[in-house]
Amino acid sequence: MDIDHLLDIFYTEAFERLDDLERGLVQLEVDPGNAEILDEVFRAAHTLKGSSGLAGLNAISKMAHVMEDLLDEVRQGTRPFTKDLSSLLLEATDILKQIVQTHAETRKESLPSGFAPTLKLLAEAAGQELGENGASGGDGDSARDAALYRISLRFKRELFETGQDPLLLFYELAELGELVDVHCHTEELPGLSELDPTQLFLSWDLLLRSTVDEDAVRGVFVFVQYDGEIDVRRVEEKENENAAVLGVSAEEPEEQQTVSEQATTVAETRTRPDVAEKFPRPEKAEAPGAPRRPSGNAVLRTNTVRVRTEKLDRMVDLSGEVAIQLGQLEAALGGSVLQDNGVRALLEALRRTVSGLQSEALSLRMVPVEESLTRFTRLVRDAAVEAGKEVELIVEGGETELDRTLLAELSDPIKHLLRNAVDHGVEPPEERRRLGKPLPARVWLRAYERAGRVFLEIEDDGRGLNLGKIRQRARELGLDASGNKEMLAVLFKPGFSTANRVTNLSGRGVGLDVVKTSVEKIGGHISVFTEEGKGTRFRISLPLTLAVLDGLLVRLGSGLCVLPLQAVSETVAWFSLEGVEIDQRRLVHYRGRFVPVVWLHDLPGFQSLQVERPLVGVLVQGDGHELFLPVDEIVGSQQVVVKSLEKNWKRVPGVTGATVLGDGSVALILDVSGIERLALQDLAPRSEEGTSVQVATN
Amino acid sequence: MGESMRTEKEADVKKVGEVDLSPAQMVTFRVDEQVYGLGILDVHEVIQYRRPEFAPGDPPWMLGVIHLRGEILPAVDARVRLGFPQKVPDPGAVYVVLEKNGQRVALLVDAILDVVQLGSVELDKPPGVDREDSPVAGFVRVKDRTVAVLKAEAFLPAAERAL
Repeated sequence: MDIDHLLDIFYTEAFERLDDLERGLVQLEVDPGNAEILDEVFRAAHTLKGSSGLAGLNAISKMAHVMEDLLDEVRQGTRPFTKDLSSLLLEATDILKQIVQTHAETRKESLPSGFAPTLKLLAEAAGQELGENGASGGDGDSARDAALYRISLRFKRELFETGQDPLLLFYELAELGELVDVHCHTEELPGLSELDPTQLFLSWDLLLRSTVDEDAVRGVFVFVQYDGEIDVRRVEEKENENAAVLGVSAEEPEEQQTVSEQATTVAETRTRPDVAEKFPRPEKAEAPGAPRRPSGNAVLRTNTVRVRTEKLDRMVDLSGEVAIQLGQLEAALGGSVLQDNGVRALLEALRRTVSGLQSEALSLRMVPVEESLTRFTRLVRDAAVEAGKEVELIVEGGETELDRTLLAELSDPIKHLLRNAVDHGVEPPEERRRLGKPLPARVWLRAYERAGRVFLEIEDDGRGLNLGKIRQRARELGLDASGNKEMLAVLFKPGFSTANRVTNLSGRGVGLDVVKTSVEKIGGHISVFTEEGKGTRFRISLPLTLAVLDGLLVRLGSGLCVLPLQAVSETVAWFSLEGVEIDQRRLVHYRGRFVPVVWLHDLPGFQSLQVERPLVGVLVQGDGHELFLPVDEIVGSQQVVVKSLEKNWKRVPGVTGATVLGDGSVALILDVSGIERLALQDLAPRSEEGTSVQVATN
Repeated sequence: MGESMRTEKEADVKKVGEVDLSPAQMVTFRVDEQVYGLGILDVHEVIQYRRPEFAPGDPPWMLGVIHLRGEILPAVDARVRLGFPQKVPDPGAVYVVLEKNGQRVALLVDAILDVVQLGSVELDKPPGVDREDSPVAGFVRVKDRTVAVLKAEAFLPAAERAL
């Protein structure tokens, strides 16, 4: 393991911890009494301090240390969690992010201009003076009012299973003050042949001289407190005992400190030299034999691996290939070979393995949206502060899974819509009070899956879109704003904005059209629902383009198509349906309602999907309508791998992609919502789509 | 698969996109009675004809899609694209798989001919083919016949707007 590799691990983890910090702090603002979040935030600062120290990024370590101190006081209940404190900590988090980013790019720890003032503010808040060596409670003045602690550590043997490493605790103790003596007990160590390296046989007695109080020393062991007997006791410093115990004088510079090897109690054992070697402050421990460990938590994380997404894509492709080739092999083997029971059993086993492989490969790319969505709490918080509003972001449906590449593409559109919700949707606090609306205002970020699509909704309980203003602005721009539908379509036109005020992101007239374009780029589409005084909801509907799909394989003339099973409500014998014609539109009467019929060959570009003798009507659920699609035959239902048409060609309306069937032939995967749009382009909106509609408020 | 034909790319070959010079090596094929060529760097491989599955949409020279080793390729009819009437493919019909700008397209041609060595020859550009939207980059004489050198990008979907 080279240093670069370890640094990479550090960067990844540091960013994760910084995200934890950020998210936690914002959550705490809403819910300051939440001990769980507070603990998490504290742990994040704590881990960051340790790992950055190990990685040699001392500035980060320094700042994280003060943050940790402040957070610890909040945890102890001796300091209130105020908005000011939160802002300061968030600012510090931003600065730390910058430092990590710069270090990741340049391998240099360069400090942004905000670093020194922020650190100063933090230190002032913590009531600390920063010595040159940075650690609070300075090592330098340990001679003055330092106390001596005797620490006895008897961990249980299974300690390593929890991912803890005692060495890291020693590093941390060393930061608190001066480790005067370390004694390692090796009596229980079995002979080499019986030694189980996953068990801990060592125990320690340590002597620490530090200015911090007993609780702070105990704090070091907060994560291992249930993992053994840990005893911290303050002992009186007697002059003559000092001489015997300390070995080095307190004035000596710390890098020259070595752990005294003179054992005071047990004579036949000795201090482990490798521990002693690493005992100077971590940043000095760069001996080649001592690879740096990012932190204790990294040990816990060894069961996750970071993989390039291209590799995952390749995996999905290849596993799909294997399944197809297996089908082809079976066909080529022919009947006589398949008569053999042995061969049949083998093929069956192989098929199971392959399908397992395929579904595993596919699942690799799907991630729950939770983490990505909760990231936006910070954005909403900042936007609210900037706009002088009180807003709470409620994230729902975090367990919904979405292809990670889609998720990445959506980040900007979501940002934009949230920003809009805070800036334009939500009323200022005084107005809300006057209207008797709840404070803080609520903004929902919601994800759910329905009918083979993933939906993301951004909703606010604000004032709703000002339809009058939109109409007026549309007229000024010479756009058609006759009906509600046209008018709302205008919202997504380039250059359209009714905002009086320009903020960071929203209100520059480069808003919703950009959102629309980026959503459509990944095969999604966006609609808006609003009601004056009640709120606005933007809904992004996404295909599962990159996912596997449970599909209904249907034949239309000579062509095979796949309908996403989630969009299919029912299949009905075609002759049993009673047709009517209203305004030249074909409808069928089914279970008390009229359902439009869409012949695929009527759609522009689909002419060759000529239905010959329809046997079955497939009832599908589009975005706002139900449709009947007559098909010649239902071939079967099967799981298909969605392949992009866009990669080698372009996006085709009404088509999600294509898939390769078991025999190597290609079937198109139809996009029911797209077909609905193609077919109903001229149909007046029946329900929600693009009209003023009641917004469901929770 | 015997019909698959790949040729080693050579480092010193000029790109066909730079239309003034002919490519050093060219894959030639027949569409109707005319011989056409494509720079070898734009040709990924040549595969046997297989019936494309229908895919909707335009332009009219888009025949549908075929499956090639896990990838879905659009099948493009060179006859229609180059202004010949569409017809049922001959037994000798093959797809020339083009690769350009990260996209792969299977170009259906009537027959594959051979790979010809050209070196640096200036392309002859009579009036009418010097337009931006012409699929033909220019003409070159090879032995006793005239080869129309095609632009690979003319068979990609982006080119349809220029037509």
